Amino acid sequence: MSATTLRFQSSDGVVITIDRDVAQRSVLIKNLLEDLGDTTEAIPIPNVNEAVLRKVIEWCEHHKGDPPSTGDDDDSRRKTTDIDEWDQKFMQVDQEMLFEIILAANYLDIKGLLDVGCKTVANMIKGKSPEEIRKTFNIQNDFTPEEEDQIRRENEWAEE
Amino acid sequence: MTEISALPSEILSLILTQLGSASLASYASVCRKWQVLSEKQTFSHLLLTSDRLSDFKRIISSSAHRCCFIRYLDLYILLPAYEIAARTQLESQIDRQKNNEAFTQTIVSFWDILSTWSEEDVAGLSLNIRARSFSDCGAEPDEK
Repeated sequence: MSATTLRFQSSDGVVITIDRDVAQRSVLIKNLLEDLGDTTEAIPIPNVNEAVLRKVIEWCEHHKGDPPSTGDDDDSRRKTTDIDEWDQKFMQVDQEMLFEIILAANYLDIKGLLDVGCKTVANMIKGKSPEEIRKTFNIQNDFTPEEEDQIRRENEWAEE
Repeated sequence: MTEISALPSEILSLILTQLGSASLASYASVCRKWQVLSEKQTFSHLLLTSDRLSDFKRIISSSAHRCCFIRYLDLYILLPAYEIAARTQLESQIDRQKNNEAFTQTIVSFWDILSTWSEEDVAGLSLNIRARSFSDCGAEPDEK
C-alpha cells in the first residue's frame, strides 16, 4: 500500500506535506516515485522555495481532477491566450512570483501550470511596443537606434 | 530578483509562439535574445518574388543565424507583363523567349544566393517555385 501523503522539502528547508495524487500532477515527482517506491523521507525540491512551492501546490490541488495531459502537442498548447477565471486570479501575483512559478512548473514538469504561466506573460506582452515591453519587464535594450530600426524593417520584410 | 531574463530560451520561445505570428516582427527589436527567438519563427517561412531577391540576399546575410531559421521558401518568378487581349492567344516566339529569360535570370540569381549558404543551412529546406505575370488572370499566382 502506498502512503496517501508525501513530504517535500523546499529549497529554504521547509517541509510540506502533500496528498500523493496532488503531488503526482508533477511528472518529475511521478517518475521519481516510480523509481523510489514508497518513502517516508522528505523529498528535497532544491530549486523551489516555500512560497513558490505553496503556490504550485495550490494550483495542483485546484486542478487535481483535470484529465492528465496526453503529450507535447495536445490541446493545451494551442495558440490562444485564453485563461480560465480561476487561473487568471491565481496568476495575479508580482512578476518575480510569476517567473518563479513558471520556472518551478518547468522544473517539476507540470504542463498545465507552465501553459497558464506562459499565457499570462503572453498577455502582458500582447499589443505593446518594444519600448513598452522593455519597460514592463526591465529588459536592457542592447541595440543601437540604427540597429533597432534595421531589425524592425528586416522583420517586417520577412513577414510580408 | 527573478526577472524575465531568468527564463530559459525554450520557455520564452513558447511564450512568443502563443502570441501568434501577426506581431512577432516588433518583438525582434526588443533585445538580441528576443531577436533570435522571434526570428526563428518569422524567418521560418519566406515569400520571395523576383524583385525581392536582392533584399533577401542583404537581409539574410546581415544576421548570421537567419539562413538556418528558414524551413520553407516560396519563390514566385515574375514573368513580363502582356496585353490583356493576348490572353486568348498562344505565346509568340518572342514572348516565350522573354519568359525564359526572366525565368532563367531569377533562378540564376536565386541559386547564386543559395550557393553561399553552408550545407547545414540548406539541409531540410523546402522550396516551392512558381511563375506568374501580373497580367495573368486572377489574383492568385498560376502554376506553370
